[in-house]
Amino acid sequence: MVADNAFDEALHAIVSKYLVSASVGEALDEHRELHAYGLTSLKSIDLLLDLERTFAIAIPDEYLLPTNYRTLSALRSMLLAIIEQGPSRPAP
Amino acid sequence: MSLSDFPPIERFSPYCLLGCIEAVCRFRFGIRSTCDCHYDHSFVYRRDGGCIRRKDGGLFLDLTFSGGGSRREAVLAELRARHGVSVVERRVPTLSEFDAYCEAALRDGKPFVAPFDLFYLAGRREYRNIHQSHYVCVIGRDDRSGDLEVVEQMLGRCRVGRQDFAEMVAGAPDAGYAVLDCARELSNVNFDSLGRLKRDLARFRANLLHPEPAFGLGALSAFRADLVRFVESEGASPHIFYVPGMWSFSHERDNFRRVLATATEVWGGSGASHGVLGDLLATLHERWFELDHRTEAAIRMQRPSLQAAAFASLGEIAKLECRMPDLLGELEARL
Repeated sequence: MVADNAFDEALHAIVSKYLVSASVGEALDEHRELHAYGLTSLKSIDLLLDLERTFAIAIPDEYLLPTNYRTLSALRSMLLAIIEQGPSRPAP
Repeated sequence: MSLSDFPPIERFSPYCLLGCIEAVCRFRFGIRSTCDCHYDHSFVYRRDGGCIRRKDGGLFLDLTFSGGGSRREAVLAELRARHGVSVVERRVPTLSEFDAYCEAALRDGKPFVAPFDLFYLAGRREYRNIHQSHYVCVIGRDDRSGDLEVVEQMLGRCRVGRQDFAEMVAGAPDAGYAVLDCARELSNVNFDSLGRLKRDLARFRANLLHPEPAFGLGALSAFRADLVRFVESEGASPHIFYVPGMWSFSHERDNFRRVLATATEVWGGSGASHGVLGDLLATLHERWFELDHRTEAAIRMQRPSLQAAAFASLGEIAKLECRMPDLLGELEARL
């Protein structure tokens, strides 16, 4: 699946909610580690739950590794892969 | 006024004061790392009675770590001896005195360390919730609003509102609020780094191989065996698996890797001298980090299925940890 602008905007808006160090509307560096923007371990789980709700997906267990949400780019790739696979089980 | 090129504080530094001092020393004196001052903080697994207990609806597992050397005086003495850096307290009991100090320091390009109650730091979960002593680096100040720009270990750069800061200063103990300034004199450096490194490598190894089962690798092994036995015998609901403070294990392994790298560089050793051990510690850091995330996700995302992967990870971690004593011994023999 190729991400469209709406997807990217939605992703950016959700991720930004959990980043303390990024100013509102600030362009995030896709390859910078999100913890450098203030994403803590606890908040990263909140972020994943929020993404599941927003995109109506269930993130499979095998994707729940810190490397998959270390950067915005990694997070985006993970979500696109999950969406492309289609629903393997009901969304939460 | 802001020192925009100030470096981040090492994320996994186990001691916030030293993490802040390290960042200031890197910025002001070009010292790559001061984490070797944490050398005495030798990490070893520990169990307190070995129990697995139920509390607050969760299953609390008894595995923690023993470390020493986190005392402020000891760390600051090491900092002076190893790097010639002295840390001096500057008392600024009123807001106007703080403002004057802050303005002068930043104008001179000197960020400084400030004690901070997390109750007043927006973005931290303790904000307006729990009082918790902490340290941050002050790197900027908005001249109009008086807001501060600080660097905090977990949040990175963040802003502290004037009102929050004023309340914190007003609530400082009787002696009044004080910040920490760093100064360096190379004539203060007086340290037998090679002798110390050799002694400490032997001590780290002995700690891991501690004869008492409550300490070292024995504690880790017993912890894993007890956990597996408990889950098998009671059919415990996996989502209640919880080890308080598990995050600290990954932090400690990263810290140990940095300590060894810095200490071996100080006496002139090449990176290769601790390469295999360094790689192992980096892997252990990643594995503990993943396990912590999996456990957290299992609990908060209601995914009991993640626990199977967590058990497998724990087994791999235990095997990797068992390689450590031999690698420490090899490094010691090469010095």
